[in-house]
Amino acid sequence: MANAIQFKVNGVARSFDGEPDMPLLWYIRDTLGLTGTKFGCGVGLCGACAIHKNGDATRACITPMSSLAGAEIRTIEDIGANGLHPVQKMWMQFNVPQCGYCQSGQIMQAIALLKGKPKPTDQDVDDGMAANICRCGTYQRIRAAIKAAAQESA
Amino acid sequence: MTSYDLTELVTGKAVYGMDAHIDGMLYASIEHPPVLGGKIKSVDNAEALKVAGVSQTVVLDPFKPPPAFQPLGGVAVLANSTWAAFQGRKKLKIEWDNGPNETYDSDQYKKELQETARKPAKLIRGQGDVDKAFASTESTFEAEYYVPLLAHAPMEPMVALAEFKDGKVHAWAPTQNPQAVQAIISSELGIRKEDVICHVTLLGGGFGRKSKPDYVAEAAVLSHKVGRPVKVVWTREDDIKFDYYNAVAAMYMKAALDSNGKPTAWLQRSVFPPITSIFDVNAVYGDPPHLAQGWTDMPYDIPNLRIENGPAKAHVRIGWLRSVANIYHGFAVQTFTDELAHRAKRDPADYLLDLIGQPRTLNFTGVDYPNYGASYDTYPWETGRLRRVTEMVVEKSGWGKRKLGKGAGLGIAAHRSFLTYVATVVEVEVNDDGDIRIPRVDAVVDAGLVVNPEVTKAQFEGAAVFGTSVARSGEITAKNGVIEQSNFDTYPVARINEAPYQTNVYLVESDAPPAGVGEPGVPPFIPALCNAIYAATGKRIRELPLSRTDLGKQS
Repeated sequence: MANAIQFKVNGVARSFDGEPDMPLLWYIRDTLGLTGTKFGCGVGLCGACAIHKNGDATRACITPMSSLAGAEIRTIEDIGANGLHPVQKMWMQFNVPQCGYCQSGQIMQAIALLKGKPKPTDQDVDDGMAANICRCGTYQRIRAAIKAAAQESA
Repeated sequence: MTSYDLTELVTGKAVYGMDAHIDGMLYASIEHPPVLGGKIKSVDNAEALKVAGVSQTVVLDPFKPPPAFQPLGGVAVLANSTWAAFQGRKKLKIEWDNGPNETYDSDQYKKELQETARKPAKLIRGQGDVDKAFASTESTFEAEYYVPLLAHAPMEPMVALAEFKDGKVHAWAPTQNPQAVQAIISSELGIRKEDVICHVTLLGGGFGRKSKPDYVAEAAVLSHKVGRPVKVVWTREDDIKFDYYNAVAAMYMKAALDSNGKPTAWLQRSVFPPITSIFDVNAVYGDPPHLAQGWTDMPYDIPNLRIENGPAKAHVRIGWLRSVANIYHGFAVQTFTDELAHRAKRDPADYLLDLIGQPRTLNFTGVDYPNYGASYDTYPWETGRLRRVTEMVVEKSGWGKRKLGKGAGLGIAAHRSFLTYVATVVEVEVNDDGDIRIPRVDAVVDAGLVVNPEVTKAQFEGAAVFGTSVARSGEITAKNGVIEQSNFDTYPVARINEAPYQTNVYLVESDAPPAGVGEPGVPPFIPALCNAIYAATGKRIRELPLSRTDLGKQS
């Protein structure tokens, strides 16, 4: 395991010595069985696989395992593990999800957005969330929930 | 009333088809024939088998026409992870015999559809004498409309897990149609339907795609062949390229107009490859249930009326997509109505109400009108209800009263589908570069008795976004029989900055029997948006998607 890559997922130390080009998405889903992070496009166009890498929203489907040395990875399963995050609470209050498939990624993206922009304007929400597709079309409620979560966290 | 599984949905714990797992399962990725009906000439799997994690490849038989819900055929790569299966598949070397659909070209096909639409065709419904009225009138107006093939693109690509064991199949699948899963697996494997157990998972979107279980059958066939549970995972590219597309359609419209600009005769003719073509290779005419979607039931009270349908042969699989034939039929009828209003120099909302006329029940005696499979006594087509939602949306949207910004316009449309009456007003802003923004949508809905208003409103909010995707950029095309789009870069769908900013949904209080709410928001939204673009720019949209038209000031 001399060349194994060392990193953390949801606070747990992990080591990987497999195919270095494999995207993190499949390690998370197939190896660790953490299926909250979704496969949507495979090329970084839809955001269904958004996770946090060192606190930044990152597309797991285009993040190769070889880039993870020392990284802190956080997935939806760790958000609210000790009580729901304000973003999750507002997602529930505004009844955001329809099919729900993209919502893990939307929530991860929204949390990262609020970290950088604690009081986001409409333009901030557009800029921060435009890389995440919701095919059911829940955008209006996503916007409302993000703004409410910003109030909640204030 | 909140959703039952909301906590799971916001914590990543909800289990979709993509998340189904049983110990010992293999992952499969399938290279399908690039052209519908194509067959394998030769396969070289040597490099694929060298990929770490890949265990074997399996050749899948091509379907026997008609395709229905059969697997498409191709070569499956099986592996111990999704990624390994994807990688192995990239290393396959396959020579294809593409078959007769190799000549399918969307540009050429479009011309053929449009030519067919200009010729007399099969009568679907008629009254009076349209030809005589056209010959004797001073003023006629005609226009042609076109809507391309559309893909569903649900966020969860097609996926299914199946295990064949002891003569039975267990399938875990995100399906809208578990009975069809049983039927197709039963026929593929020669086992009884009762021996197919379909475990329906959560669906990561469907929009009609997941009522066609070809992908579930693939998993079952593979499990049967390899003796292990198999999870078939389609890529996004597979999803876009091997969909059952909403039909491409050409519509021809002609009206004879009196001195007030009101139609005295009305001819409408649509041409599209029918959904029935997936079940019958000879099917070229629209079937009554799909013609009934906003075409047979054109509601205006016009003394001379001809509703026609022309033939079109399918070269891809055609299928149901959220509101189906209502998409292109509603676009043609409601845009043509707006065109006539402007020609008559009338307010489009007033003109629309004039054409809807006084409350009456449409009479389909002697007409094949399936009415969405519902009893006509229970769910009659009442123009008074369409009139009411139209009057209400005029009021709720502030039509004619609202101050609009520079480059902005309002458009209106009304449509009944799935037994529900909807009128929609869209506000659009078009900047000098031709980029559009949709600040506001108002939709009034009469769906009869509504059980869950919150979820119903969400459906109409979502329908406005879905309609935005169709209108802005929804277009699937083929060249040499191969679909040219592949992912969200070439088949874009609306993002948060492109979707309507605010959609207001108003539900009519009603004791009428309950009706559909998932689909009916889509058909009126699209023409209302296009009519708004006309109001804002003077540019008439007769062809979708909008990306085909330069809406900028310079053009």
